[in-house]
Amino acid sequence: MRINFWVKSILVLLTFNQCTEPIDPLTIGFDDLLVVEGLITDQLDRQKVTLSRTIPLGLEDSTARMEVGAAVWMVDQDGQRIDFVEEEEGVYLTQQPYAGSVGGTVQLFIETMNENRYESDVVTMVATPPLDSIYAEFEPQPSVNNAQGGVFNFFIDARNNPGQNRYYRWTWNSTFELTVPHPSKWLWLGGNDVILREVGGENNDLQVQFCWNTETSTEIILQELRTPSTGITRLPITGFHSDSKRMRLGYSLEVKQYALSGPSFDYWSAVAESTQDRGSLFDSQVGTIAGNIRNVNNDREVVLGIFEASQEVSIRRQYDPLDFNSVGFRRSGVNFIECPSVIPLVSEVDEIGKTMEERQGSVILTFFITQPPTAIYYPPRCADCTRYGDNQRPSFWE
Amino acid sequence: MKRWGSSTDGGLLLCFLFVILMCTGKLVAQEQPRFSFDFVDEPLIEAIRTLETNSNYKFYFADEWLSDINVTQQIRADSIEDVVNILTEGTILQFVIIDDKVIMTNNAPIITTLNRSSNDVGATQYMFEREYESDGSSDDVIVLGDKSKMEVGGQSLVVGFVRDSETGEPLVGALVFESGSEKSTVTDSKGFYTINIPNGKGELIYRFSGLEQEKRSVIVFSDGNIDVSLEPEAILLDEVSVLADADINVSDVKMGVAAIDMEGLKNVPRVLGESDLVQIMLTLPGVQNVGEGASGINVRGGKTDQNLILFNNATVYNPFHFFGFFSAFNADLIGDTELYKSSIPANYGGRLSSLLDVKMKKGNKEKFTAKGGISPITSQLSFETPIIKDKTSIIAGVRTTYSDWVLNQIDDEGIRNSDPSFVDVGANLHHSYGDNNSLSASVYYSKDQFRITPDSLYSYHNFNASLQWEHFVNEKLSTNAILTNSQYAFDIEYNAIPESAFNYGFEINDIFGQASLNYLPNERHDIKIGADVRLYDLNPGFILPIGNESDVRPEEIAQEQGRETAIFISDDYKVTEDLNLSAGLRYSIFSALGGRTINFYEDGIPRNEGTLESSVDYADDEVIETYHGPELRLSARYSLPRNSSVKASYTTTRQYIHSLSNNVSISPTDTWKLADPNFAPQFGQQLSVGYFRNLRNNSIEASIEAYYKTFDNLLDYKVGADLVLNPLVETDVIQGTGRAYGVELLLRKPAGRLNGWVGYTYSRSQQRFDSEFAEERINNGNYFSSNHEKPHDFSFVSNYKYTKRVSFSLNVTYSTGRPITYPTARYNLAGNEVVHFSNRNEFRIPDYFRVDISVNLEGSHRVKKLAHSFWSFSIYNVTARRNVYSVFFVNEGGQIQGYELSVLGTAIPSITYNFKF
Repeated sequence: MRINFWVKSILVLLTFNQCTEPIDPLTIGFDDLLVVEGLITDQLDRQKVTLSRTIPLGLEDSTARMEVGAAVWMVDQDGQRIDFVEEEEGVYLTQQPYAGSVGGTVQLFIETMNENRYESDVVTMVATPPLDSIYAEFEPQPSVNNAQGGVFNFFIDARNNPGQNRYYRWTWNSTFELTVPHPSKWLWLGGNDVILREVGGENNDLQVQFCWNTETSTEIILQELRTPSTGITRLPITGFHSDSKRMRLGYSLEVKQYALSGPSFDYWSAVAESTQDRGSLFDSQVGTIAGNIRNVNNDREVVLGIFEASQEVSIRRQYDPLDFNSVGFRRSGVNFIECPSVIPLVSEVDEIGKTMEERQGSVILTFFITQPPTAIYYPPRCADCTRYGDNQRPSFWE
Repeated sequence: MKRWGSSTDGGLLLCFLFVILMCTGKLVAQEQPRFSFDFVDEPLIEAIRTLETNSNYKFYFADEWLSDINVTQQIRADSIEDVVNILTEGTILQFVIIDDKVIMTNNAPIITTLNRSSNDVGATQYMFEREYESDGSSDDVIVLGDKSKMEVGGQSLVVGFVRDSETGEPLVGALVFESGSEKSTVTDSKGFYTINIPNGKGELIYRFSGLEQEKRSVIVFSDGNIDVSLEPEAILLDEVSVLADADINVSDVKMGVAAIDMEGLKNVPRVLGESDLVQIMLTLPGVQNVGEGASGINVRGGKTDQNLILFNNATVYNPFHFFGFFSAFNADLIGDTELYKSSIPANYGGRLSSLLDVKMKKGNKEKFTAKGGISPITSQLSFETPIIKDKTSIIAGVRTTYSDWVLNQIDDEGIRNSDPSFVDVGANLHHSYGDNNSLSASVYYSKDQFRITPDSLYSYHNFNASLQWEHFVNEKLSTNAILTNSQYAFDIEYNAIPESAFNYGFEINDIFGQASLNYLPNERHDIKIGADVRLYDLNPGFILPIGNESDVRPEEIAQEQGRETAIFISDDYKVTEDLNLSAGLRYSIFSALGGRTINFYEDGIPRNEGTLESSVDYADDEVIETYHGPELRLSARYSLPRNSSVKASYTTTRQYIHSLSNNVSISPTDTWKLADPNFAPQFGQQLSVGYFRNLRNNSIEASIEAYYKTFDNLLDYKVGADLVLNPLVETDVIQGTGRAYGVELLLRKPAGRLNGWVGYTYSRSQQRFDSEFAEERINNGNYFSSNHEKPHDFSFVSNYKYTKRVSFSLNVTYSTGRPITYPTARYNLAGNEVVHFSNRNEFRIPDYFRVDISVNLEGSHRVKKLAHSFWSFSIYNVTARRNVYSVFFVNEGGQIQGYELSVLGTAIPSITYNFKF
C-alpha cells in the first residue's frame, strides 16, 4: 500500500478543472540534455542501452532525437568490460548475449561523439521474487450503443516474496488477434499475375486475414510494500473497454516484474509523479529528476534517465473471449475494423494490372468470382490486417 | 446630563417675538446707547433671545438654568458685559464673554485656565482667565493635586486606569495623549497608565480603537489620578483602523508591528462573504501568500511554518478552514490582535519570522450582549454575559457552515463534491478578584472535514486550552502565569476498496507554561523577566486497517518528544525623551527526547538506505540531542522634529520544529517534525531600520521600513520525496540557507470620512541548497527565489463614509506573479513521455491584480436601540480577472499542453448580515 500516492491524489482531486486556460508551452524555453535508459537483466540476451536527447515542448514531431555514434560499454563485478554496438540510431546492444547475475554489479560508461564522458553509479542486480498469477475481471458497463459493453481489468498476485524486497516495478506487453471483414485471398504480383494467400498453407506468410497487435505499457507501475512479507495482492496492471475490440479473437498479456533498489524506486516514483501532476491548490514541488549518471568532467551537467540492473520475472496468460461468457460478456462481432457500406470495386480478370495501377494502392485485390470471371477489390483497411498488426502468429500464441 | 442649546434654535419664534417688541415701541432709536431694552417681567430666556436678535452675540446656556427667571429692567448700556451683568443680577448665573460668544454657567465655580508664561518660566505670577470650553465634547475641568505643592515649570505624574464603560474591563494598549506637550503613553495589561505632563493647563485625550475618544481638560498642580471609561462608538463602522494608534506609529520603540482591529475587518474584501483576519493581514506590507485561497502566510520572505500563531497564548498549528480560504478564528470572539514582523518580544519564541498574537475578548461584566451573523458560507452566534457582576464574565461563540448551496455554485467539481464543512467554538471565562488579581480560562476547538470520494473522509481539528493568572502586586510590580495546551490532528478514512480500507493520521500535542514578572521601577524602565517550557508530543503518522477485510497492516512511526525551555529578560528603557531602547534576551534550549530510534548515517555522503550506519534506541525521556542558543531582541527609537522618528531593530530567533510539506502552499496533509540529530533547528536573524512620520496633526501616518534577514537550516526535499509514513524521512530531506530583504512603505489615514491606507513593498526572498552531491543540490547550489517571492506588492484599502449609516469600500491589490518551475523539455523513458523541469522557480506566473468593492449599511446608529444590525454587500474581484494561481502541464496524446489554473476566476458577490444586541 503506497499511501503517499493516495494522499497526493487527494490533493490532485481538489483540482479546479473548470478554471483553467491553455497556454503555449513552446514559448517557455528548451534544455537540450542527454537521456540514458538501460536495464540489465538476468535473461541471456543482447542487453540494451538507449541514448537520446530531450525534445522541445509543444513540438508536434515527437520523434525522439537519438544520440548516435557514442561509445558505450559496461564493467561488471569481475572487472570484465562488455561493449555495446549501435544497432540502430541511439539503440546500443551488447555485442554478445549477456546475462547479469543476482548480487552482481555493473557500471555503465558512455563517450559521446562530442567527447563528453559519462558514467553511472555502480548498480547491483536485485533479486526478484516470482509472480503467482495474472487474472482478469469483466465489469459490465452497458451503454446506449452497446448493451453488452463493459470493462476488462487485469490483476496480478505475487504473494510469495522470499527476498523481502520492498520496491517493485512492472511492465507489461499484450497481444491480441484481429481480423478484417474482407480478407484478401490473392496477392497481386504485377501485371495480371497473382498468388494465393493461404492461411495455414504454403504461403501462410502472405496471409492478411489474421494478425496480432502488440502493445506495451506506457504508464509507470510501481509499488512499495510496507510489509514485504505479505507480498502483493490484486495489483491492477492494465485494463480496457470492450469497445476497444481487443477481446474479439484472443488476448494475451505478459507481465514482467522487477525488484528495485531504493534509489531506483525513488527515481521512478519521481518520474511517475511528474507525469501525473494535474495542478491543484496544493501543487507538489517539481524539479529535475536526477538519475544515477553524471558527466565525468562536469558534475553540474544534468543527465536524465537511469541505468539499473534487476532480475526479470515474467508471467503470461492468454484469454479467449468465451472465457468471459459466464460473467456476461458477449462479443458483438468478429471484425476488428468495421467496413460498413463499402461497395467493392470490380474489374475483369484481365484488367487486374490496369486497375491496380490506376488505383495506386487505394484498393487491393481481394477475391475472384467465376461467373462471369471478375476480380473484386476492397480498400486495404477492409481487406488487409497487416495495417493493424503483424500477420505472423507469435510463438506464444496458443 | 446637561442639554445645551443656543438661541439659534427656533428661529421662527424669535422673529415673532421681535415683531411684537417692535410693535410695542419700546425699542429705542439708534442714537441711544448701543444696547437699549425695556423688559417687563420678561422671561430671561426671551430677553436673551431679544438681545441675540439685535446684536451679533450668541449666548450659550442650558435652558433649565434660565427657567423661572424673569427680568424687569430698563437697559441702557454700551458694553455687552454690562448688559449681561444687568440681566443676571440677583441670580446665580455666571458668564464669560469670548469674542462674540456669551457663555453662561449655573453658579459653577468660576472656570479658570492657568496660563503658563512660556517665556518666563521663573515667574510666579499666573493669570487666571475666565474661559469655558464650548465644544460640547469635554466634561468638567479636573483639577489635579494640591495647588500649594505646585512646582512652577515642573512636571507632574498623572496615573490611572482606562476601562471599557460597557464591560468594565481594563483596556490594554489604549492611547493616552496630552495635546499641549504632545506626550503620550499607552496603558499596560491592567489598563493602567502613567504619564508625566507639564504643570498647568492641559488636555488629556484617551483613545482606543472602536470606542469613543474621551478628553479631559486638566489643571495640574501636582501628581494626581484620573480614571477614564470609554464608551462604545455609536457607529461601529466609523473607520478602517488597522495599525496601532496614530501617535504610536512614531513614538513606539517597536517596529514592524501591526495591531489589527477586528472592527476594521468589516471593510476589507470578503471571499464568499466571510470577513477574515488573513485577508486583512495580506493587505499589510510584508505579508504575502502564494496565491488566492492558499493556506499560510509568508511574513517578510519567511516560510509558512515560521509564524508563531497564538490564540490566547496557545499555539494554533493549522489556523485555516475550508482548504485555506478562511482563517479558523471567529471574528466576533477576537479582541486585541497583533502581528509582529520584527521586534518579537523576548517572552515569545519558537518561530523564525513572525508572531501573530490573537487574544480572545473578555466577556461583558455589566450586562448580557449577543452577536450573530449570516454569510453565504457560515452562520455565527456569540454572547457575552456577566456571571458575577463586575467580577466574572464569559464570552462564547460558535461558527459553522450552514448550507451547501454556495458550494454548489463553485465552478469546480472537486470542491463541489467534497462536501466540506467546518465548525469552530470558543469560550473565555474571566474572573477578577480584588483589584489585583485576574484569572482567565479559555478553550477553543475547530474542526474541518471534507470528502475526497464518497468513501473517504478527510478531517482535521485544533483544540486549545489556556489558563492565565495575572497578579498586580503594586503599581510597580505585576506577575503573570500562563498554562496552555494545544492539539492538532488530521485523519483520513478510506473505505473505497474494502481490502485497502485504512485510517491514516497525524497528531501533535504541546503543553506550555510560562511565569513572568513585570517590574516598572520608574517611568524610564519597563522590565520583564521570566521563564517558560514547552513539551511536545508528536505522532508523526500511523495507519490502521478499517474492517475485517482490510489487508492493511497497522503501522506507526515512533512518537517524537521534545522539550523547549527558555529564560528571558527585557527592558524597555526610556534613555531620554527622544531615545528609547528595548533590549531583550531569550535563551532557549531544546532537547529531543526518547524513546524512539534514531538513524545515523555515514558522514560526508548523502543519506539513504545504503549509507545508514546504525540505528540507536533511546529510552523514554532520554535526551537524544540538545540544541540551544541566545536569541537577541533589540530595538531603538530616536525622535526627530516634526513628529517623526527613526527606529532600528535586530532580532535573532530559533525554531526547533519544522513543517514537512512538499507542496508549494500549506496542504491539509502537512505534518510537523521536531529537531533531532538528523534535523537541525532553524535559525534566523533580522536587521531592520525605519523612518516614521505623522503628518497633518497625526491624521496621516507614513512609514518606510527596510529589512535584511537570513535563515539557516531551512528544509527542502529531494524530488519525489516520500513524506508519508516514511521511517527514513531524513533521507528525503535537505537543509539549506536563505536570505530575504525588502523595503516597505505605508501611508495611512486612520480616521475621517475617507480613510484607509496605501502600502507598497519591494521584497526578495531567496534560498540556497548546495552540496558536493548532485542529489542534495538545487539549481546547482545557487540562490533561487522562494515560492512566495513577489517583488512588487501594492495594496490600496479605502473606506468612504457617505452618511453615518452608509459607507463604501474600494480595495485594489497588485503583486508580481510568484516564481514557478516550468517544464523546459520532454523525453521518452520506458515508453513514457516524461517532462523535464527548469531550474527551480526560474519562471513567474502572471501578475496578480484584483479590485473589490463593498457597500456597508448600518441598520441604526442609535446607541439605545435594542439591536444593531449591519449589512454588507460586496463584490470580490470586480473585474473578474482570472488571476493565475499556478501553471501546470499535462501530456495529452503525446503533446505536452500547459494550463493556467485560477482559483476564483470570476467576480464573487456576497451579502452578509450581522446583528448585535
